[in-house]
Amino acid sequence: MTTPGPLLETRIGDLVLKNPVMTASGTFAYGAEFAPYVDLNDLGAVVVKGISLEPRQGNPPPRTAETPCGMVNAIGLENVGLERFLADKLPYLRRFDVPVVVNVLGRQVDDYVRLAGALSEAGGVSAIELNVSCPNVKSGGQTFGVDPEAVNALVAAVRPAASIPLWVKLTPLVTDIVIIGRAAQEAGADAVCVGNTFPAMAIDVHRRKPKLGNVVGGLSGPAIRPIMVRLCWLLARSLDIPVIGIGGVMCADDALEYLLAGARAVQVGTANFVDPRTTVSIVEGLRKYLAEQGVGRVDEIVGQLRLE
Amino acid sequence: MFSLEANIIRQTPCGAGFYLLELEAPDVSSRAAPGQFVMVRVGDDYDPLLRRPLSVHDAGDGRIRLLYRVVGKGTGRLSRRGEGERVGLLGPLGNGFEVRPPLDTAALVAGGRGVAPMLFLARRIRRECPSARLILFFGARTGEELVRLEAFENLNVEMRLATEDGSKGTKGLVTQLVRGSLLSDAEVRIYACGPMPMLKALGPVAAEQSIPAQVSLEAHMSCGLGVCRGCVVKTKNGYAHVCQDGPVFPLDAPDWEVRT
Repeated sequence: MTTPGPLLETRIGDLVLKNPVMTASGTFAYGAEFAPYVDLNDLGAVVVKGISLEPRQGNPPPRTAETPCGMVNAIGLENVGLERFLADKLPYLRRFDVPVVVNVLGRQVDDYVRLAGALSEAGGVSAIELNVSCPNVKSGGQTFGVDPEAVNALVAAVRPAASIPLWVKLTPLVTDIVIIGRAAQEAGADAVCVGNTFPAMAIDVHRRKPKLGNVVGGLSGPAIRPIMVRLCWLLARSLDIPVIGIGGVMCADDALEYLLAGARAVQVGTANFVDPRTTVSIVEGLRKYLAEQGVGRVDEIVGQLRLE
Repeated sequence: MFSLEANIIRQTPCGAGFYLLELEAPDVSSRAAPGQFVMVRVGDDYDPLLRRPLSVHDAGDGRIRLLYRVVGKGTGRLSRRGEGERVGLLGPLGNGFEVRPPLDTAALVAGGRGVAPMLFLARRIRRECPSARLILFFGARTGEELVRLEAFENLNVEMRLATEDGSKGTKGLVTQLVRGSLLSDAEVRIYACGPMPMLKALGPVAAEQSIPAQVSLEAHMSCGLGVCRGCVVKTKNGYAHVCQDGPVFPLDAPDWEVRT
């Protein structure tokens, strides 16, 4: 298969990735499901489905609805919970030479602290990605991610518990993403990922009913890519920590948009549903682009958007 | 499980918006079991974005056949593809029908496009249980929706037809036909695929006669691989995933009170 070379190597803080192509949380399960299609060793990192302290059943169906160039989902954060993740899922991933990033979700600050502590001690986890799009039950259910003070407090609380790199996956639904990004950076985050799905809904006009059992969900796919590229660009020019681009990456050109806008890496999400081999195709496409452009290392194109 | 670009050998309209799509896919063909499905990419661009889950209608000779009905943008797009083109194909996926002797009578119960997996199933039963009696109970709204009857005739499958408008077969619902039939052999099994109300109505019919029944469920799927966790159905033990835990379930597994 692909021989990962120095050409594509990149760094997110202290964490070295063979290439800048990762999977996005919730679209790659716990890795094993993709083994028939992808050699996990060929990926920059595997970001697994979000883990909570306790298992979650998820939302009533229908949980997904297709929309133009995208999909709206309200899966409801169904996951096996921390205990089963550590016992049943992580050992499989440890067999591969690929960084494992665990997305974590909680309903209060203490949930995140406990998850970060357990995952830091587990061994075989390379980074923690905080999902701040969850409702903060202590502040009346508003999501952590829309409030810079809540993001700052959350990251500051989790930071001492996390002995491994700490990334923050931001919600795009904010007026000024840079304020939120700075709040994460100041509290000690090692990187920000932008971003989560865009809140959305879809309606069946014949039945006059919402297409999702949960009524509202999150929009993903190529439809949101231009929105996310802009947010990524705004953050990359304002923050000192690395930015990871997420949203509608389907092919190498899409990944390159994010890299040129300043992202040091990308996460591939919905595209995994469309074609389970998307990630490795993108790695190949990046290699080809760099060769054609006569660029020695992928890092040399990060943020190299020409504005003049 | 295979991921490939499959050549379209031919695509044939079958009436009432049904199409029969024949694909060259030797690996999928030799591995597939009745009741399993494939995920088909209907075009090369992103609208529609997601693949469509289609059950295997028939397989053999290095080919698979998919029978589907145009119900929206994705299937509409697929229906306009033709010979010489290629479509992205992922599969075979999911758990199929359980077919094993002893089997005296197999009642295949199909509603509308739920007939799709039944031909492959009939062929497999003929092979595994050569002496079994095969009956297709096939219901639809109108007579022209009772498609592919000749393919079942070629396998010597007995036919019991029902239409809601009475234009062909018995007027009424297919579940009433099943109830009216005396399925009294020692080893009888029901295999069903169709709309949720049909499958639900089949429950008491199978229970009255103590006949084991398996049903194939349909769901919106994004990945078909057990990854997105989107295609859930409520069961007595929480949510099951149609793509991974099914699409074939024991008839008494789904919680029919919440799925009508």
